[in-house]
Amino acid sequence: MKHTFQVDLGGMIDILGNHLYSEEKVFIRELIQNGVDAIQMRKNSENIQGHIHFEIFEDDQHPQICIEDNGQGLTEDEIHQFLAKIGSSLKRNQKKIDFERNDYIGQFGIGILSCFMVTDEIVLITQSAKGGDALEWHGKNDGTYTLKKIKQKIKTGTKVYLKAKEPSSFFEIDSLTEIVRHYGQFLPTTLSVGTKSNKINAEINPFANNTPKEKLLELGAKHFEIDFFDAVPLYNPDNSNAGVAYILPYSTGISSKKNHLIYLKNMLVVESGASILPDWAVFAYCIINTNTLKPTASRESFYEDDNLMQTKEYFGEQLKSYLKELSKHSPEKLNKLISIHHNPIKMLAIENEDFFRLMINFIEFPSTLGYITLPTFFESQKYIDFVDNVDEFRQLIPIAIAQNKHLINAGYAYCIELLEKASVCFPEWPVRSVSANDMIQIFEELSLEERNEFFDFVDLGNETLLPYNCTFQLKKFAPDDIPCLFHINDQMKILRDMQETEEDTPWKNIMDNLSKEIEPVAIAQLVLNYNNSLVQKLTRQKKAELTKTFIKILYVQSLMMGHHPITKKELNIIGESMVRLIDLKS
Amino acid sequence: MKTDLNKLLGEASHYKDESTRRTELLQKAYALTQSMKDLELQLEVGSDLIKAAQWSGNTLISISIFPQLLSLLDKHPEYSDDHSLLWKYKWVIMDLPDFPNITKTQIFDAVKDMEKRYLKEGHSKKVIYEYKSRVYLELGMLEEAKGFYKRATKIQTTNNMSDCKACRIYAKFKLYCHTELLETALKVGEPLFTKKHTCSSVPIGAYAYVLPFLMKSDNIKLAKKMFEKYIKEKEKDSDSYHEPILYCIKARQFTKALALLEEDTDRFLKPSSEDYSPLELSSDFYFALTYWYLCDCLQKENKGQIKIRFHRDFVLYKASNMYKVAELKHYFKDYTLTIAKVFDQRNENNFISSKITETFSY
Repeated sequence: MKHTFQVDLGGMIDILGNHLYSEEKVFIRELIQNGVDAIQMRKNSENIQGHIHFEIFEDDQHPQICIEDNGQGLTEDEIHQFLAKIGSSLKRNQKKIDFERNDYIGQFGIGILSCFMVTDEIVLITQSAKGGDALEWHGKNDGTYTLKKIKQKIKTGTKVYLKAKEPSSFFEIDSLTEIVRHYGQFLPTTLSVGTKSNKINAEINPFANNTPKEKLLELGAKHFEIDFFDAVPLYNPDNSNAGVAYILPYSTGISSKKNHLIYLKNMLVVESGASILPDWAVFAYCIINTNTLKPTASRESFYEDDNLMQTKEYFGEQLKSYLKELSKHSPEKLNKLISIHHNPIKMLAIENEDFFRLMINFIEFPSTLGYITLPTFFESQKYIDFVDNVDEFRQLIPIAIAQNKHLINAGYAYCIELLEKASVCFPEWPVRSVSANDMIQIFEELSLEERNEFFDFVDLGNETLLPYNCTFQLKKFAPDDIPCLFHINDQMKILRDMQETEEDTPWKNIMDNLSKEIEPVAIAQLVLNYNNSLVQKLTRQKKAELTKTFIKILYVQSLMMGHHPITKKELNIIGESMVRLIDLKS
Repeated sequence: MKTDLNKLLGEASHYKDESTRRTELLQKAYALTQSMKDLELQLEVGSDLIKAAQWSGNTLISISIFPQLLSLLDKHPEYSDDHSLLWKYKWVIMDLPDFPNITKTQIFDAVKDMEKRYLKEGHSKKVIYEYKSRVYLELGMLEEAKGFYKRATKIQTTNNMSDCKACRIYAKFKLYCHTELLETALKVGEPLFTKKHTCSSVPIGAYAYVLPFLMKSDNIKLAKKMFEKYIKEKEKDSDSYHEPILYCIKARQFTKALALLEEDTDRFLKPSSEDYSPLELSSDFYFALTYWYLCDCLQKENKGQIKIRFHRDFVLYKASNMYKVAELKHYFKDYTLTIAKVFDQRNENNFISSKITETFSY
């Protein structure tokens, strides 16, 4: 036996009216939208100038909004069919008749219900262009409605009356004007609030491809309250989606909120969150009008369909073209833009080879030669050696410069990826990763005589640092004022963390087992510089205990300089060393 | 130090969780929080690091710091982070079977510790049983895996420690692939294949996982379909899967197989290499097996030499990129058999070495 679902109409209206939309003010958008669509429908058979007018007045001390349009109006049948049937839309039905037509903003048949967020009753007075009597419809939030004919003749179109169910700023003229302007200022239909001569449509159209850039920037500043770096017109080939991208004057992260204003057929529907630009374009906010993207039922976002993807791609290409144009005609401006938005530009360059080849001439890297582009660095050095870690780079700066070697600091976001890409795109550039360990390998070894002389000293150093899994060497390197160089590899970092696992936990044994496997490849090395006067003194002094103490201090100092975490055992070295020095002195 | 930390965290925020670079930056940031002795920050950054390390395949890093964070939370329960660390316990537990030098006893001691903590926080036993089932499955102990899965299904309630629907179906699907008729498993996996339920590694993981089972049952038509779906999803996922490569070899699409293998070359490196990562044995096993199978098939096609890109620190690396198929086969065969032996010894069964026999029976 077949059963049908029971629908609680009052509950349904409550869900649609009070929970579908994220903000109450959208009821005004929905009313504008119905007016615009009604006018569009009438325009299909008559040549009229569309006009939507808002007014506020008081009735029994309750403020009321009246919105009036000179659109198609509704017949009695249409009211029963579409206005009183949730989910049924006159506009969707029209589209079934003429599938290719897509001139209407709304299509779900639920927009009017949003008014129940601010009122308990909707009153609608309408005169259809098809003729017949004028009609008065009262819809209540419990799901009931009444309909009666009106004797007197009224103009073709529709008036909607909403009585505030509780005090609200929407029923004040200034707020209402702002909200109507917010949603509808770019509509081709005339909008007015208060008096019919108080038109609130914008003078600048950001969706027209001939709007001057200064005007666009002016508009952007007004909308977002930001003085943008630049404005870039956006459009897809058939101009069905068009607008402007504003380049931010400050940097943003990849996860920053996307502040795009998206208009559907010139009416604002999406105010933030929608991804209309590619992920890398975090440096731009945009104002876009779409005629083809498909809105969701709440019209607060769009379906992520092929159309949206393609639009994103077009807009992405235009932003890339803009950057390319800058590189040709305004390189200084591009440099400035990159200095603000280096991360998204780098990200894009990594993804796109053509763009990479262009931008690599502008993207600067920190290096021992200062900020420099890769081509300039290669030009002067004939190699590109880089360090992938900021701390290690800082440690190596004086040493590298003294060896007459220059290094790129690739410790920042996307630098390594760019260097990898450079090695593929420009095979003639020898791109090499350099670590402290590589530097250690090229340091000058002691002479045989010196080796013999300091053999025991090196043994003592190794014995001292053995409990800390660190090896000890004595070499010679410039500059003389640096006493030592410390290197620790990734495996040693992991091993050090494992060794910090507390006793008496089930994890201790697991860590012990894993540590055994890592130990052979975990490396920490402390290399003392025999050219340094302090080290020379240390090698010559005879008290083994004092030597050990100094070696330990140098080891802890190196850990601290490299920002490596200090274990409890290592932390104790400082205190113990001080005691030992005092003992030795006394 | 605080400035350096903020800078590192800012840098890390430019990368997605599955990026190795994010893991590296968070690792440095975590080291700074250790030095700063800011325990709350250490917990916060450590928790992010575990996620990034897990998602980027650097499981050893997440395992190495996890016990520290647990101890930290034990000593400072006031820093409790809405179960975020306990949630990650499940991930870390699932990594343990991948390391053959961690004994079964040690794995189950850790599971017991997770259970104790979950129950203390009032979480349902359902999630514990589900994870015990998964651990047993990884160890090739199928009866036990089935047993715990049954026990989990008897408990109806899920709670906020339970995985999402997609992940729960995926786990059931994996178990059924091993323990039930393939038809039954496919039926279970249907909502994943049709993307009715999705999560980070679903459906792509499911498309890959089912391939050897389809090949084993000679259902090449469906395997082709699943492979195509896998390829379509691949660009959204950074994980490495060996199963689609096995399919390509079976389908004699050697060029495609080689291209897929070349996407993941940081394996089989000399211990002296900077990119050497010890203990990635579980996935190395499957990739070594894939290379072995590939070389075997190439030999049967009378191909004596092959050009393939390996990492410059690959044990047999040649600058010419030209390798003798027999030489590669010999190396990967030895490698596969050695690792299989280690795993089988730990698991006390032949679950891992049986994968070799299965692969060569396609």
